Amino acid sequence: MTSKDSADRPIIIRTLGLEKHYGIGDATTYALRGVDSSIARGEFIAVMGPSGSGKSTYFNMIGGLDSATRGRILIDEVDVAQLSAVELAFLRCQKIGYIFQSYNLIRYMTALENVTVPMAFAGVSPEEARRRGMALLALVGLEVRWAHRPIEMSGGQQQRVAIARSLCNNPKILLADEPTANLDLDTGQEILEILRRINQERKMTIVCSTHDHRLLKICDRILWIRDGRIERVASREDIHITVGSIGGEA
Amino acid sequence: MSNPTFHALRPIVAKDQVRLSVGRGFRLAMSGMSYRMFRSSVTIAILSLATAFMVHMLSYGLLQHATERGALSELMHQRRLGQEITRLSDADSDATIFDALATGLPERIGEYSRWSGLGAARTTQTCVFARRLREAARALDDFPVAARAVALGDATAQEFLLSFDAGELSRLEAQLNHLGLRAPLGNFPELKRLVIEGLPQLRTFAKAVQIGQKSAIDELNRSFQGESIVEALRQSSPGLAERIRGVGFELTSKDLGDLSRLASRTTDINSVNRLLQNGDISTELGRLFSIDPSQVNFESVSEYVSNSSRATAVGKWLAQAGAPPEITPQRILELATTHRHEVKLTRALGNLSEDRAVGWFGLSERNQWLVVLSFLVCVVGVANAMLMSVTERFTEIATMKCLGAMDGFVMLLFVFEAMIQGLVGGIIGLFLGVILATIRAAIEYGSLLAGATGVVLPVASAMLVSLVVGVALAAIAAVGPAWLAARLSPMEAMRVE
Repeated sequence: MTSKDSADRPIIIRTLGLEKHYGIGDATTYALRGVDSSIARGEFIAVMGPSGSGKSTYFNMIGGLDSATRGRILIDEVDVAQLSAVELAFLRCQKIGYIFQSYNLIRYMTALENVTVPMAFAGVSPEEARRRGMALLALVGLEVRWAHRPIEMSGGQQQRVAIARSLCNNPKILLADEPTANLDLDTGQEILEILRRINQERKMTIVCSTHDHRLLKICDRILWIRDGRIERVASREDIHITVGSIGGEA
Repeated sequence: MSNPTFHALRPIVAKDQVRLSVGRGFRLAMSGMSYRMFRSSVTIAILSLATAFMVHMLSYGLLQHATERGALSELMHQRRLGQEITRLSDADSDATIFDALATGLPERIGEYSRWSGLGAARTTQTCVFARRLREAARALDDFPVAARAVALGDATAQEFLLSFDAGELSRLEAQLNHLGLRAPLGNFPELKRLVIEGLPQLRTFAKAVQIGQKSAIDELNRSFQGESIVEALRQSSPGLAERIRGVGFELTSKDLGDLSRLASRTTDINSVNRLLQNGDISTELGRLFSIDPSQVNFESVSEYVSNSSRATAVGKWLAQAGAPPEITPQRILELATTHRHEVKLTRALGNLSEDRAVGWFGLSERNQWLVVLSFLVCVVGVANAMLMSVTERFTEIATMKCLGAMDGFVMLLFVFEAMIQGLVGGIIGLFLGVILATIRAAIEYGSLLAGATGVVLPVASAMLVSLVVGVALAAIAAVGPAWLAARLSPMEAMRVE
């Protein structure tokens, strides 16, 4: 399942026989039924699948938010199941940046304060956090709106603040959970463009669950999940050959 | 699918994970609260009401007791002054002498030692006897009512003992044995020794004192040249203090000043009362006060005379009846005000005996329960408010945990929030409670409240205790919801409403 161009790069996320069950006995629901996957450093991965496919469960697992029933998750060559509460908090704080479908900005904080929250958890001094926060807001083009609260910003702007927040501790992995689902087409396009730029300029690994077919144009590989299994893995080039003309977007 | 080969696993390096400073948690809690101002202010209101209730209960109790203590000591002082006037014109009774000796009042003992002419050693010895006799009397008083009635009859234990002799002693012994009661002071021989040796000595001493006091009074009266002692005190003629002290009375200058005022008041009240016996005047005043003429007396005058214009009206009638020149309207108002104050004092002491509270800060048991209950209700209210605050912030909390917040920090955040609310609510409640208690006490006691001294420190400590209790209870109420928040899975952040 390794693609040509990621073969020689180190693997940053690896899952081995990953299973997740809910309930017991006859009532057991299988969310994941053995997922083997590996994502290389610097890759831009799109995870696709219908709802109820286990896509969200997979996503939570590789984000260190949920534990596996069976199998292993290795993030940056560290077995997540072995981590203590402190180490898990460290992992979430320093190694992974999260972007949520509904932005999840803290309502009572300004854009800048929102961006600096994870830096506070990481022990960055307030002055340094402000400096880095402003730089990140500049990166997403919102430096003039640093004092605005989420309620005073559009959805796209909020999502850009959320992206800035996810980047603030310079994580190795960016996990984006349907980042464009709540946005209109143009704004979604802007967000995707920012993600692409981050991937290319910072060589950051991005895993993005989505229904947005425009993402297929910019990602390196696509993982299709169905019924708790990886149904198909394809690289972008293959998609262009097979479905390139279907979406009418090429 | 082929399993990729593994390199050796690396341990995670988590050493630079920091625990957030208290200050930052505090600021986060503050900004969160200011955003949810309405919710917070409701919680603050609950807390301030509970604290106000507690502070009110505590400080009202303290004010009440201080006022009553003040009233009591003022009344005692007045009663003593009344006694002093009597003592200046008539020798002390056996009971008075016995009381003074048993209680050990130093100025009385000095006087008695002088008048009896029996010397200091004998006086001290008599004091010991008096004290022992009083103990015996108290022990007799503690007997069950029925047994006491059989043994003592109608007399009080003190009267009984003072009129005792050896014959009666054996009768008492037989009766107590019959009733199966222990002798006062532990054994009969001790009581017997006390009665046989002590009582005659006490009686001799009292007799000597009375003779000495009598001659002292005679000497004093001679120097007044026919005036009564009350008259002499009223005029407080020069050299009076020296003369009174010269015959052996130990009275301070302040006492003498008070005595002089009391004497002139008594004289004036007597002359007003005399004037009121005039039928015409009492009819006129009865019309003025809208009461029956037969009820016109000094009491009703002082009830009516509450300001100077009323005093002038009453003064006019009294002058017509031939009042002496010192009975001016001004003086009538003074007498009336003092009298009303005394009535109030007596009334305040009525409350004292019916509601003699013990326990913390003078709270009665019922009020202690009320305070505890009010705080229980408050804890439930705060816990409910915090629970709502937690449930409506699930996403926010989960997001913070995704961003690296530790469980402990989330917990701290909510406990902080509750404590800040407790502090703000508590401070508001403190002042509310103290103001309420003061107003209530002012309505209840009026001007007597001024006599409540030494109450600032206890009230301040009651305030401090209430504040600490308020903050602590808010924190305790928040622990449950905060724990719920801390245990929340970060996965909640992914949920889309």
